[in-house]
Amino acid sequence: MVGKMVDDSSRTLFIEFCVAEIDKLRRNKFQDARTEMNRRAFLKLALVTSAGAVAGYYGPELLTLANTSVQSLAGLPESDNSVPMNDDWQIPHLLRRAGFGASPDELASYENLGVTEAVNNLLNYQNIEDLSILSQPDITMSLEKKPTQDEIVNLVWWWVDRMIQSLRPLEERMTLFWHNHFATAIYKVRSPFLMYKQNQLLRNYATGNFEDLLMGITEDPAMLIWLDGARNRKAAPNENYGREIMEVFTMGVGNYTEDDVKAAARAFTGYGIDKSGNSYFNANQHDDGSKTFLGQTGNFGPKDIVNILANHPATAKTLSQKLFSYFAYDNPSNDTITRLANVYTDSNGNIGQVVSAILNSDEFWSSQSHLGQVKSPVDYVATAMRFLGATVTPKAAAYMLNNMGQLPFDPPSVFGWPSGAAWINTSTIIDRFNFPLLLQSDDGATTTTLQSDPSGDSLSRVLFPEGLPSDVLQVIQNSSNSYSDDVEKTRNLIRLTMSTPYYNLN
Amino acid sequence: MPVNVARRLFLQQIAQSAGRVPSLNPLSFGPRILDLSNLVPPDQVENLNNRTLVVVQLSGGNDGLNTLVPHSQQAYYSNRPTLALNKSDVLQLDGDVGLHPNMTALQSLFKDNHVAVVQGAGYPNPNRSHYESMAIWQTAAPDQSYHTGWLGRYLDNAHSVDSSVSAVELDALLSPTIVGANERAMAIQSLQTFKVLPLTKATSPAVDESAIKSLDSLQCSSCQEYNNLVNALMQAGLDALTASDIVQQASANYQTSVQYPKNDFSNRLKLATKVVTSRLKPTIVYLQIGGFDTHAVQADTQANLLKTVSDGISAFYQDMDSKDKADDTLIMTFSEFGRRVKENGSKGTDHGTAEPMFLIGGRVNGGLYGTYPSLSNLDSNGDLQYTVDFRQVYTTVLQDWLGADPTQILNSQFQKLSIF
Repeated sequence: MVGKMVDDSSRTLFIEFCVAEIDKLRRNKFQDARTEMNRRAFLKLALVTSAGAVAGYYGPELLTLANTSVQSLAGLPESDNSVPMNDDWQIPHLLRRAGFGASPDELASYENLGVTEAVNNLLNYQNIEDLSILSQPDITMSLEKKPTQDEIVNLVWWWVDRMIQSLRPLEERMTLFWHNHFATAIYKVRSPFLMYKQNQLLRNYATGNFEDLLMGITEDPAMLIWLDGARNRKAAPNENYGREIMEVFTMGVGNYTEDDVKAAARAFTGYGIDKSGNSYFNANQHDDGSKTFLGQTGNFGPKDIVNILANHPATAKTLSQKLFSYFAYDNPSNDTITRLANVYTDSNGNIGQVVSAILNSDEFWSSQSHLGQVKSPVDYVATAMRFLGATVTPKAAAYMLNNMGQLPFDPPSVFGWPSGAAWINTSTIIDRFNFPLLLQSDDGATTTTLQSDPSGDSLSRVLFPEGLPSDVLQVIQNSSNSYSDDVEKTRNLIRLTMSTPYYNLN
Repeated sequence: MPVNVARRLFLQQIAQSAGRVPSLNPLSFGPRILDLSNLVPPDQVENLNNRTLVVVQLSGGNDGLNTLVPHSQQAYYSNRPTLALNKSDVLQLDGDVGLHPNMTALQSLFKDNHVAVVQGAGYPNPNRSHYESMAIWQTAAPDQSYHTGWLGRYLDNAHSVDSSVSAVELDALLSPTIVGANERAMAIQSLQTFKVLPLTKATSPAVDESAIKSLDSLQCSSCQEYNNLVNALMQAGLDALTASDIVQQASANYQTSVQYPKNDFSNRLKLATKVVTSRLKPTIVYLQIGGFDTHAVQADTQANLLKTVSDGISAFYQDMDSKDKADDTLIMTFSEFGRRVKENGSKGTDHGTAEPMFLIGGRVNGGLYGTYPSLSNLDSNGDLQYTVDFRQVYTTVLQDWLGADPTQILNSQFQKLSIF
């Protein structure tokens, strides 16, 4: 890793921290973290009940939002059976990939929609009023102050919490995709405020036009710090952004020369950041001379380079490949990539249409795709909470994500995070064995489930809807039976389920 | 990735002699309790090759010109109006080159003949992308003839004759360098996190212990392999459960009088000592330190990093020396590239080519190797032309330090350096 947010002293304190958290949980005996859980409970209600039923419990604004949400999500006739739901893996698969898992109630709502409408519903998330717009991270919203570690934790938690709460899960999925694609890390940017602003940019353009997004990120203050764009001067260009925009953000290696890097660097000269954290363009520092870039000659500036790159055939292929691997599986066939690249080109670079083509493709619904990925740390953490309706403290989430190798807002380098089997090793697997001990549940619902189903099958199915093999379930059941306390039994069951190789698939 | 039964058996065996009894649950994955003939007998563990290679990866592209300073070349000063180091401040190694002023600890080891400095290390047709060039150094395949890491291939080959050979990376995620076709290193991010926590702490330790044991069984329960990812997860889980016990126990017994600097890099080097002296006995330890991509205001950033690296490596060497293991220890540093000769307009430097490498150890013939690239005879991009192929260094390490056949790993022959 190129940088680390959590320093030595924090790491040394980590075990003590975890043990203290677990102790606290034991003392509370899973008693409610009601405040934490209100929005979560609300989400469930919004999905599965009529909004009127919660009128007495929530304020009028929330009620309005809830009405909208329920109508938009359940806007289809309740008797919509156009797509028979005989295969019980499809909706869990869809929600693990296009979202961050789902509670049994949420799963049921999507099952009622049928696969086709469930996909449309996830894709057209603009129609769903987002409750999480009500929340903002607890950070200083200016450049003034030196950030504390608590602020970074708050920023991370704000986003992870959105992944768990959002009624528009694909929006968060795509924002995470772009964060990895335009990987920018707080260890260099330093400012949680600028990282937050970049996150909003990525979210706003998540399924829109790629050229707009690329122009936005070119002028984004966090990016101008991250790749030294704010230091790129006419007199002595800095090549950092000029190189990475071609290598990582658009075409990929093999499509440009070192001379193209130098020409792009000159074209991007002139940006700066003011004291409020806004970027500006200073024409005096911009090299407006003639440049030859990818075979074209002109007095190119930032917009010209962005335009050429966003519309380059290599960009269409590279983005299609990356999006497909993110949602389905690695190494798709050339035919698949060509098909998706055509969607990109024909739509003038509309990302939502490429994603739609992927989620509606045979490849996405194939056995090669189903459970063919390893859960990333963010998947592992967020889906556990979304599946179970549980939560953890912000610090626990941030520390564990960092230890597992994927702290949001802090990717290791401009190339983003690894994927697949690279997430799994002796160090991260122990973090995965330990994380479930930090989960807090709201109301003992899981314990109740266990009492009505002592085998633990139902509870483990909440986490792994496809169902664990019977011998694995047997080991879990035997172990949990040796705990006399129901809460401990439950926690052990959850811990062991999440420690199976199966749960770690996505 | 096939489950490496041999290594797992070996780990179990040493875990057993270290006091942990592996569960032989009837539900366990079949092969792990079979074929004991592959095991290295415990009494032979001590007789295995005790040498360790510690690789330190400097990520981001370390500016070699301000690390090993060519102060006798006038072009160094004309190309670096703000970044050049004064000749009087440079730590002299010979009349022509010297170390950055913050590398006093390494200079001291150099004076004791424990440091080999390879000048001008690089490769033909240098790539200036971080990702591509790092991949070239990690796979040792500029022509992309391999996608596995060069030390991963070493592990693959070594395992075919000795299943006890292991490697450890001290980080959350593994570098491609030590991932082979069949073998991969274990990862240990920190001592504190490399420990399976009990569910309830004090109230029912026996029940907790048994619950943790069932974690072990879970990794083996279903003989039906779902897919190769399940296999990788199982292998990591089994190795982790065993290795964490061994490392925690070694740490409890560890003592030192050496004062390590207080930073993350040195903490991991201290952990390296514990791991190397544990029963895991890794042949390779890998760690990296980042932040070398100094496109802007380079001077202070690089100065701090070089001090961290130099002081940390020195402390580690002294610690190993105090345990009579200096002669069994070799530390090697590299970066994905050096940086451009001419500084840019941001008081920084852009991506370049050739760089110095450092090899530190009790058996090293100290001194300067290769020739420093000329700063007045640059390539068409304004970068240094390498004088030593980095695969010559790898060849030397593989053959003379690890006792391996370099041609099997590097796919062609490179002239060795007389470092050992």
